[in-house]
Amino acid sequence: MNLFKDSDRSFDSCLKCTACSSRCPVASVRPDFPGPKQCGPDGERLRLKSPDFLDEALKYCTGCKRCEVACPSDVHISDIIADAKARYGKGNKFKIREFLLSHTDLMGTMTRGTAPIVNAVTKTKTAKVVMHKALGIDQRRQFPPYAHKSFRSWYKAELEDKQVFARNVSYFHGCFVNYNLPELGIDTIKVLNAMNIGVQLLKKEKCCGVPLVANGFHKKAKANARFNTDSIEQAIDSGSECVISTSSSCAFMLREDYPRMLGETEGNPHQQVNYITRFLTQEFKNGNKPELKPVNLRVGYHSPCHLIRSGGVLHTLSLLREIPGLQLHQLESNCCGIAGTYGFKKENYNTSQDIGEPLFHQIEEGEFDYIVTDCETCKMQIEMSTSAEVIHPVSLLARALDV
Amino acid sequence: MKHDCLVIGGGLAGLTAGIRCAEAGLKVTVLSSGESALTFSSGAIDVLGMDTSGMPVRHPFQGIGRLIVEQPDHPYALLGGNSVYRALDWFQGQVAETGLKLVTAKILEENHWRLTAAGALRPAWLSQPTAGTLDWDFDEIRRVVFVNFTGFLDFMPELASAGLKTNKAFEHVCVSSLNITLPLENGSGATADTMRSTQLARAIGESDIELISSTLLEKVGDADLVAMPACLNVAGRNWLEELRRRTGLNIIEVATLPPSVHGIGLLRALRSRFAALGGFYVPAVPVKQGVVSNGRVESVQTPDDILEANHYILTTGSYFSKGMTSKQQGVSEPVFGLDMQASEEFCDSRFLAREGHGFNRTGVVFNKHLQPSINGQSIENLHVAGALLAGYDPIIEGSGGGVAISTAWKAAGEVIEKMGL
Ligand SMILES: Cc1cc2nc3c(=O)[nH]c(=O)nc-3n(C[C@H](O)[C@H](O)[C@H](O)COP(=O)(O)OP(=O)(O)OC[C@H]3O[C@@H](n4cnc5c(N)ncnc54)[C@H](O)[C@@H]3O)c2cc1C
Ligand code: SF4
Ligand code: SF4
Repeated sequence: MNLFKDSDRSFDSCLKCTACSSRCPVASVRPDFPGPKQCGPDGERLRLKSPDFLDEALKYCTGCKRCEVACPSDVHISDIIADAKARYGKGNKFKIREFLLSHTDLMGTMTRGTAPIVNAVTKTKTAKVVMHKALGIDQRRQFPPYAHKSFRSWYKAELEDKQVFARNVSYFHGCFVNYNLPELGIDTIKVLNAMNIGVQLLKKEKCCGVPLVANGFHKKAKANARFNTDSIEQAIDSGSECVISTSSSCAFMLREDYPRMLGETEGNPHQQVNYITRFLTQEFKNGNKPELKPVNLRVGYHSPCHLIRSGGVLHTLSLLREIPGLQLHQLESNCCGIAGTYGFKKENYNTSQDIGEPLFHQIEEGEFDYIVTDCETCKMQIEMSTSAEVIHPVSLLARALDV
Repeated sequence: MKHDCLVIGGGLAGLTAGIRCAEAGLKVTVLSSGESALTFSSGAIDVLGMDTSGMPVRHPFQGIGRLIVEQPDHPYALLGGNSVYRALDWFQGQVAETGLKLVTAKILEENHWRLTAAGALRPAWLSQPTAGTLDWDFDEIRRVVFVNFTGFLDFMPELASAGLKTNKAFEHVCVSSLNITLPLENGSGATADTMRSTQLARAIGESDIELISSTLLEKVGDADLVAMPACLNVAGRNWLEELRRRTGLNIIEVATLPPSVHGIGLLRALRSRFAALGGFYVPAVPVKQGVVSNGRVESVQTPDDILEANHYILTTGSYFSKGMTSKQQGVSEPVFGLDMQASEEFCDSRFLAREGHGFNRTGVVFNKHLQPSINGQSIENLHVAGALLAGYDPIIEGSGGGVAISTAWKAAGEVIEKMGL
């Protein structure tokens, strides 16, 4: 993400090969989206001459980065598009919606103690119509339920004193684990403890900033980046070997985007952030592998776009292959369509579902016990759009400890 | 965790090797980075299109027999015509398992002609079902029409018809072009000039098909062959079949400028077959370096990891895919630093010289088991296949797909044998 400095000149190295356009999920379902080559390197050339060349259609880009994976010439296509949107884009009429969708930590805090009520209300027809009409949040969307007790308070109450181990890591749990899926946090601790590694939380953490950047709140995102970076530094200084994250998107943001956002590339602590499967495969390889019992399930693995971009699919696959008895099938590499908060907006709902169609189809045909994926919004999208239940690779691993 | 076999490079050769290993029950992972040549290709497989004197080859497997007598260092010489045939037959069967039925000529063991976007005719072995196969003799053809949808830029019917006209066999055939302006029912108001073939496929709806059918019947109802850009059979919508049914015309699809719907379709089929057999395909992980000692690969390094396997198959392609790099000191293979055969004359001064460019024949040298070498020492657990091999010219010979498939099939066979399966 280069919103924080001058124009990204990587467009100069574009070879005009169109590989990027062949891989864009949005272009494949929207005939009116000109695709990454046009919106990215081609468009940037024009926009540098005059912002009038800004194409309205840029707003349809989901930021999935599949174009960058395809590019043989390392053009930061998705960053260039995000940058142009922020730089030249006009504000839209759903400011409140963008605020609500993107301030995930604030929303979580507000529901504290009221989770059952909020969950019930967001399910009602009236609430859905109000959200659709007034806020522009599509009424066909299902909201993830909020947990009754946040992961952080659970940890403080139940676990903090029990984490006495010679080796320690710090856990950036993120908003989703904290407010919606504390079970994943608990499984993570279970797995790491079984490997004789203690888990500490950061003194404080704020939303990593992915939804903020996607919705145009760059200042806030940068402030969060600063805040979290300080927490990470503090954790490393007080003896944590590294920081782990169980969200492929948070991890990508912390590790890959923070240094660029903050304009720091040397000596920063961001390289100490690991997506969990990266950390675990390293440990397994070094011989620190807990005893695993067979998990006799047939599962389909869906790789999230940002995990692909960071080369992390290798780690998750390697980890899953260690689970005895598991019948693991790699699903075709298709975007699920949700792209964070993108699919929640009513103007994107159809695009989002059309993009996901081939994936949903494959899942329904495959007769899997579970779908496994690393990303919380992929989970929401797949559970809403198919009959499948989705679990995180670490939760599957936790089952191998138990069964 | 140790892999039985790691394949480096996820193009046509890498996936073919991966599929054969997985089929034999090996734990195999394909590491890839970026796109492969398939994304840009016609989606047809050429085995041998031209002989050494530049004449089109009608019987490719017999042609291979003659070719390898003249060129004993050609990759095909390791297999011979019969094995190449077996490899391609097996390949066609694997792809068919996914529902994609690639077609051969109607006559056994013969090439057919495929039509390119430039109006050229190439002898091919396998073609996409919607591209069809043109018989070796064109006796039946009196009128050919290239049709485009007004504004669509990745297909140029005027260029195609002019191209076909230069072919002697079409001297007395009426070749013309036709543009049809479509309403693009599902185009959300966008026009064809901003669309790629995959998008055009989405934008077309029932009213467009109705208009195409009626226009064809009215204007070119007597054509023996109607060629359209490949955008009519995408994502489960087979408009082509519908048009054929409504008009009764012989309509075929021609691969457009990239991105190529047919090439991507073949790539997708291969990946799906590989996954169905239990193989793992890892995107966006470029292998940086291989560690070799005592004639064996110990491990390979990626940006994040050191990976180990019993066997390795290297299918990293040619220059564009970065399987070879060319610097001032010459051409090299960047992962292992394998021995290369450089051609004396690197690039022929006449651009399309009959003998081909030395440039294209350059590549990694290999022994009869497809093992490469470093400073003359063979690497026991490494096999090479596909576009990075030395000793052949895919463009002049029309052999790119056939060499990639058959050498990958053989490389996998060597690994399977060594694993004792
Ligand atoms: C434009 C074009 C059109 C063609 N049309 C036809 C046709 O119509 N018919 C036909 O028969 N043949 C055709 N060919 C030739 C044929 O497609 C190729 O010979 C064949 O696909 C080569 O396959 P490959 O797997 O050896 O290499 P490639 O397809 O080049 O694949 C190599 C792969 O390895 C990856 N890679 C490279 N380095 C690394 C690394 N260090 N780590 C990990 N991955 C790496 C690359 O990213 C790439 O994905 C065409 C070729 C081109 C370029
Ligand atoms: S980031 Fe994704 S949606 Fe945006 S242009 Fe690239 S491939 Fe398309
Ligand atoms: S893939 Fe990269 S080099 Fe090719 S057209 Fe897109 S931006 Fe340019």
